Amino acid sequence: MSSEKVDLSQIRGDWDFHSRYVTNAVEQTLKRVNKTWKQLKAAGRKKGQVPVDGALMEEFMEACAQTRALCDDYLILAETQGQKVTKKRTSKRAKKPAAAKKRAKKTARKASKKTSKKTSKKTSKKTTQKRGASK
Amino acid sequence: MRPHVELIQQADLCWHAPELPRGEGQAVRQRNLSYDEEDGSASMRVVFDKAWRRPGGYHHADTEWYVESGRVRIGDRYLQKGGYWRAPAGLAIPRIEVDAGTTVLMFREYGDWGFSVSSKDRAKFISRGGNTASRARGELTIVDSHRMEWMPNAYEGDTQRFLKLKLLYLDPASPTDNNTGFVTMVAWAPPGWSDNRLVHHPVFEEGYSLEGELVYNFGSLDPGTYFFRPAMVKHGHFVAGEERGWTGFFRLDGSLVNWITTQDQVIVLGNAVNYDPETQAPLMAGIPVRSKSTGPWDLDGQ
Repeated sequence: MSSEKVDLSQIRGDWDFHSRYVTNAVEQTLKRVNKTWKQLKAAGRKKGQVPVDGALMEEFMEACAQTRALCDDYLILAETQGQKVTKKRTSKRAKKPAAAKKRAKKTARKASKKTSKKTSKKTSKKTTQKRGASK
Repeated sequence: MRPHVELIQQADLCWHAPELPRGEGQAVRQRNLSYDEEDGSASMRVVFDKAWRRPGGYHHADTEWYVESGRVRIGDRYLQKGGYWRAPAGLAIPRIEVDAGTTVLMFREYGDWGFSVSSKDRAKFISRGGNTASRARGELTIVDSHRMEWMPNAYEGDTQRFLKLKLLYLDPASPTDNNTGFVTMVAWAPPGWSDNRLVHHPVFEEGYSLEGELVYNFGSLDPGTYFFRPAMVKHGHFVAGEERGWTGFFRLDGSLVNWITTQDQVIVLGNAVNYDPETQAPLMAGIPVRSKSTGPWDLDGQ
């Protein structure tokens, strides 16, 4: 048996894809519910009555049961929409150490420049002066 | 060993004499969907043209009946369309009566058609089935699937989570061996459900199409189509029909695990010495049994 939580990233398409699929499935099944209900009412012998058994009633009950079952998919979608937010959060958190790394790199570069300047001042004063003159 | 059957339409098959010994009533015929010539396991679609009955007793195989249409009485329970019962080999079951015009999907596993009239079990202890890992005593299961609620697909991997199930019989696999136990269920792929990948399982998977349609790599699963897929055979590229999706009856000899393949390709290497590799290339071994209605397989998902 699988874990309780669904990971939509393991399934085809993104959250929007699955949301469109569920809505279409609900609409198609509701069409069947309405169609069979109309047929049941038309088959009723008296006003306000429908045939309470037979193939048509079975078809109506099955379409209703399937519609209810599809409601579970909205719970999955609600659950996985939450997962989407947590993914964003984790990615933002992930940016922080990257920014810190950048800052650390900058300071390291500055420090290395300073040390290189000190050494280069001793060896090649003329070139630094020329650079400054060109500015 | 059952052969890989995928895909056949039951209406294409010939009729056989029924394998229902000790029964009373002549006009019964069956179509063999899949047959294990080693141990007698079989899956059949049986039509009772006239009323049929059989006294209580035990089967020599794990036996399952799913009522496709008509009416079956087992003991004091009446089963109509969607009714299901299962008994392990050796377990005494009550008298059975079948109405004229009834159609039943019948399944035998780990044994042949044998049936002994008896009011007692074959032995003191009857196990849950031929593939069970349980030490619990086997029992008669009777379910009316049309009165059950659909549940979300609880099986491995989330990959087909939007499918809906009705579990008719579950003998859980051992925690240490996935290939033990048994599952029988009805599955519903809702309208427009799709999965564009390929899947394979460590257990066999058998299915009979009850309603709707589902296009996949082996063809189109229309009502009356059937497959018996041994373990490890890839299948997929599913798209369910728009109006009512697809409903099928399933059997598995263990716990379902979905192993996924994406970006699949088959590379066959070799020198064509005296033939044209484009038009005269040999087929790959392992082509499944198919019937005329389902046409040739285009090797999608090979």
